[in-house]
Amino acid sequence: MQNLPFSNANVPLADLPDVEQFDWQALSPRYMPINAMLNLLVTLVLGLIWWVSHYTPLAAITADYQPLAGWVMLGLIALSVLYNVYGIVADQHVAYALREHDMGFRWGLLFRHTVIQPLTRIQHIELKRGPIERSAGLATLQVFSAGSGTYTFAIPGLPVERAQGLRQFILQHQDLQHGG
Amino acid sequence: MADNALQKLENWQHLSPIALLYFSLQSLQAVFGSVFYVIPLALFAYRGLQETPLLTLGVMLLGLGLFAGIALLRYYFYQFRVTGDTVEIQAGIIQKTQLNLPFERIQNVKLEQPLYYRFTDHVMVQLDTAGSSREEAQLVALSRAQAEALQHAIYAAHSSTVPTENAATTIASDIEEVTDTIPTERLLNQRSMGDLLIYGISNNRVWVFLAATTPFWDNALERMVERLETFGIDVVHYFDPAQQSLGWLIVLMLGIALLVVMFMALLSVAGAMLSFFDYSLVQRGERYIQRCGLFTRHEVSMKLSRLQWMQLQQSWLERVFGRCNVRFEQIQAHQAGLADAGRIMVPAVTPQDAQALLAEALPAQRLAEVVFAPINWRFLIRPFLFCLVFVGASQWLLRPDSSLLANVALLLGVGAGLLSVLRWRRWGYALDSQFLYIRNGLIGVNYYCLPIFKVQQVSYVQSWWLERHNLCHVRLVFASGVQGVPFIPWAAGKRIVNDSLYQAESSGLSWM
Repeated sequence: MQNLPFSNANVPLADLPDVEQFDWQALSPRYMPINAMLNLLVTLVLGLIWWVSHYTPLAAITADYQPLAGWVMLGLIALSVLYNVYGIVADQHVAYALREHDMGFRWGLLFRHTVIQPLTRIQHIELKRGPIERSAGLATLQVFSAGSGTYTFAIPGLPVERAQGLRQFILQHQDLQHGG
Repeated sequence: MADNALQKLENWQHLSPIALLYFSLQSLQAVFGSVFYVIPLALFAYRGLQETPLLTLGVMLLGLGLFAGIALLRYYFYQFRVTGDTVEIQAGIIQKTQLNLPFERIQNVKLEQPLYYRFTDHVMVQLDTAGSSREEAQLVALSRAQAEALQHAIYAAHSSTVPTENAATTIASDIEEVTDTIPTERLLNQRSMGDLLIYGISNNRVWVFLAATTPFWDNALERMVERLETFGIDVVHYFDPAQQSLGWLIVLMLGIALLVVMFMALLSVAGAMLSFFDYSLVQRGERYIQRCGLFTRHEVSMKLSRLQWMQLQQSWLERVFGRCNVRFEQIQAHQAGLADAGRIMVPAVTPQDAQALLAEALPAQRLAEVVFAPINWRFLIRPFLFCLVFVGASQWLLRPDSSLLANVALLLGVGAGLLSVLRWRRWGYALDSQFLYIRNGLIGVNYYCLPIFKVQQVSYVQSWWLERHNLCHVRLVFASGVQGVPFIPWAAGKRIVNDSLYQAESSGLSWM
């Protein structure tokens, strides 16, 4: 163990909440295939563009830049395929957790990010449902706190009932906090 | 007396006539603020005056008349009143806008005094709301007594609503102080011309100015050369390596560089004077108020409880002078353009004064005594790899064609590597029961005092590689922005994360 640079500790350590005690929950099993399909769709569109610019009369447009344009397209497609594979593996590591006073979200395969949002600091909550999410009965829970801006806390791929339950829990927690 | 001033505002009324001046100047500025309009107009006027003076004068008068007319109409249609606890404004000539602002929605009341308001002692009142910028309102001209009465009434309304919102026991004595009467002001800090001189010389805004004006240098230099040649001075001749000795060239270059630096320092000092002239920071009740400005006087106020963190900032030149700037960060302004608007900064204070300001605003912090722990040396791996790749690629590509360019690239790569070592050595962090202290910088240095109970969101990053070496990155989001430390031991990172969460969740204290 390395030396800790701390002084003045007067909080009993046993009472401290511990980030390692989160009970992580996986996202809805419906979320992963949808995400994978969307990623695949991007690859297919890129492939289509490559095919059109090579084997149809439209190839005349890019004829001047040909060897280079072809290689760039192939490179993009290769990256996109890699991202597909990465996405399928990485999605299995996305998880969220809810505790009495905070909620957590973690993602990432190579770099594992963990974000924890105290419930007392939440300003407002939104349930977002795009057309694809609606058709799959999923929802994204977005939680806003002051100053978060680009660091908005969002959990995608929640079953609708679960998302609504989470929102209800957070709202009730807030009511308690503000003595209402 | 304050009530009298407010009672006068209860009925719909026009602004003080001095607002006419403001409206005219504003529309003039809207047109003539841009060079693209001014140049063709000036050309037109010049030509016109030479060829048909009477007609041109008539057109110009008509134009000015139009501006005056618009200003008059805007003045006429601008009405406002303050009833009970709302500010109402009606404005607009064609497109009417009506604004209802309840006192408790107003986050901040800023008083601003343009130069031409100073003779009659009128002020412009800017009302900031937490919501969108469209809802922000200006009372363009009020007498100082009325403006201050309004400011007190709004702040008093705030203080009386705070306890019902937060069950937590806030500083009750301060609230009474505000609601009872207008509390007296206590001077916290004042800046003299000498301090601003130091700030002007050592702040680096001038380099931004330099970068922004680069495109114009070329033209200006050519003009200057032409002009000098007409006086019989051949500038190019002095710089010609074929005709001059190397020593002479070096002396010439150094001389010119020195002149440019001195000129830029002068510009920077002028800028510092412009924005910070007659600087004072006072405390009134639970608020800090900063007043400064040479032409337009700005007043920024901040409730002490809104303070998110404090920063001591010291550029490398300020290290030479032994001064630093103290920043009080509150909730971030919504518009990027107004990034500096809500901020309080005390420029060029001595370390003792900085300590006093820190102790005053955050009495529990121990920045002076705390021992900073360094971050792990693995921080250096990534920048070093980048430098290595850069140097390698540049030598491989440039060396065969131009050894000069290759040498410059080599120097750049090695320089960047050295800078990353400096950056690594500056990084430091420490935690006590209430604060996280962060030190960072390159040649200059920043110290942050972060009250961890105000944290909005906490996050950390690990990878298999970081985990193997027991390391992590930690990031805390505050209402005023983000602060973090990379490459710290996992045990320390976990401690920061857990302590901040515990403080935020258990203290019951509001971050506002």
